[in-house]
Amino acid sequence: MRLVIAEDNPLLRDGIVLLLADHDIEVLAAVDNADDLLAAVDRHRPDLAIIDVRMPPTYIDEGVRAAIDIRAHYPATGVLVFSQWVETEYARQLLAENASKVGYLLKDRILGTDQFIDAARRVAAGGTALDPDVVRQLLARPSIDAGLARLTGREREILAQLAEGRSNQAIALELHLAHRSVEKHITSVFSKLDLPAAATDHRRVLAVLRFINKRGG
Amino acid sequence: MAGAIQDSAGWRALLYCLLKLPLTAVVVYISVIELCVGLLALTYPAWWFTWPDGLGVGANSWAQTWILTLQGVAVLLIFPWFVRLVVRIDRALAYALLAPNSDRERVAVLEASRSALAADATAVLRRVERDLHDGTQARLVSVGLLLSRLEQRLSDPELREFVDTARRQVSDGLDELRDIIRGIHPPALDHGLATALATLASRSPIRTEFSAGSPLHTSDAEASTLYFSAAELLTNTARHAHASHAELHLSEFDGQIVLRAYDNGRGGARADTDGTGLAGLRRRAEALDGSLSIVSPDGGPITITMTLPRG
Repeated sequence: MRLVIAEDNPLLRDGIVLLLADHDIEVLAAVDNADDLLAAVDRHRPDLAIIDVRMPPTYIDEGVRAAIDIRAHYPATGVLVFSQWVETEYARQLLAENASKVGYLLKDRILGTDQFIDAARRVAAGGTALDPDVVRQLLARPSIDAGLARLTGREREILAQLAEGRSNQAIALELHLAHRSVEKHITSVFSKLDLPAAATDHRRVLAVLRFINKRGG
Repeated sequence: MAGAIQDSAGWRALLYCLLKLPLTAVVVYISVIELCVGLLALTYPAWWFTWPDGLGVGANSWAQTWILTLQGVAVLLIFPWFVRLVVRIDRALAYALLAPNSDRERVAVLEASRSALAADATAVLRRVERDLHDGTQARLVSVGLLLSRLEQRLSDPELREFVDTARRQVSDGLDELRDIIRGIHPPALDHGLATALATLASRSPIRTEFSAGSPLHTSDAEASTLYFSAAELLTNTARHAHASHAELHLSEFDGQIVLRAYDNGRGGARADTDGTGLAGLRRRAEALDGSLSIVSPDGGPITITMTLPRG
């Protein structure tokens, strides 16, 4: 996996580069602002860009805007946005049209190294990684979507796991379910959400989008 | 009514009118007499010439009429000085009774210093948030990173567990820090009040529709007051209202910022009962010269409106 990093705090930037080096992941460029990030992506065409939300000059949402830019112009590059905060609003902006090759995580998740590396690989490979905090915020509300309202408690749990970007196997492990029963629940989620019977991965992405967009109010 | 009675400026204006009336009467009376007598005395020789017998007052000879003329000149010359004196008295009265007194000047000074304090407090909180974000939070994450990398390099399961515990402690610390910062200055506010309120509404456990009128500019102190008030109102709704639906609306009307919260719950909210924090919200509004109105019949629904004047 080839990646670039944009993080303005030198302590964290170096820390992440070293962490990734420990896992034999090549960091092509580590920059501290959005302009340099876009230049680095243009030059290296990496598999993944790991992007801090708050960067100079305004320290508000430079990272989110750069990520949306990268998604629009460099579709081969996945974006993994991370910050000290997760805002539902940013999640919606990042996933507005397409939930593949995108991740949005709390910085704390870096500490759980394996999950972080796993999320990075998943996003680079075309998947989704939503922070459990975002998912919890979205799930905290009763549904205003008829399809989502029909889901049982267990199915909602499964959908939340899908939104975080987990594989069937990981979901089975997390929820202490048999692999087959996870598959059954997922099929049921898809059918309740009226998702087309296309390739499974595509339907996963659609389910996540449905989940994100219908929860906005 | 009580306000009208306690309005000292009003009373003082009334006193001024009452004093001005006799002053004017006296001044008009004296002026007319003075002008008439002055002119009459000035022209006395002519009168004496016309009716030597008819007047019979003031003079018995030509010489005396000329003395009267000189007196008339003196009276007329004094007249402008008299007018100046009257104007000076009137000005003194007006200044004493109508000019802002020290109390009112003090109120103006206090109002200015209060809004400066509110702006300062918001700026300080924002700086604290920035410092925590760029400093403490980042340092905690990097300590956690080091612990993670250390854990990878350890083979002794006991040591690994130690390091793992330390790393979890760091994670918990970060969670706590995040909660604290959320209460100080939510970073979402940097993205504008409307966005922050939208995120707030989407986080509410009750289905909450947020809408905003034309984009409006608020001072940091106003934005922060409105944000925390909205948070409190939504929490109240979730805890007390038994509502299934809530609305939050932000708009600008007649030079005022208006935040309206509605829910279809059981109503019956009062600002004077504890627990709902409505009295606190009212104080927050009043600190910015705003107001809070509560329309909450028993059985619901409830509409609470916070109005702040544009700063």
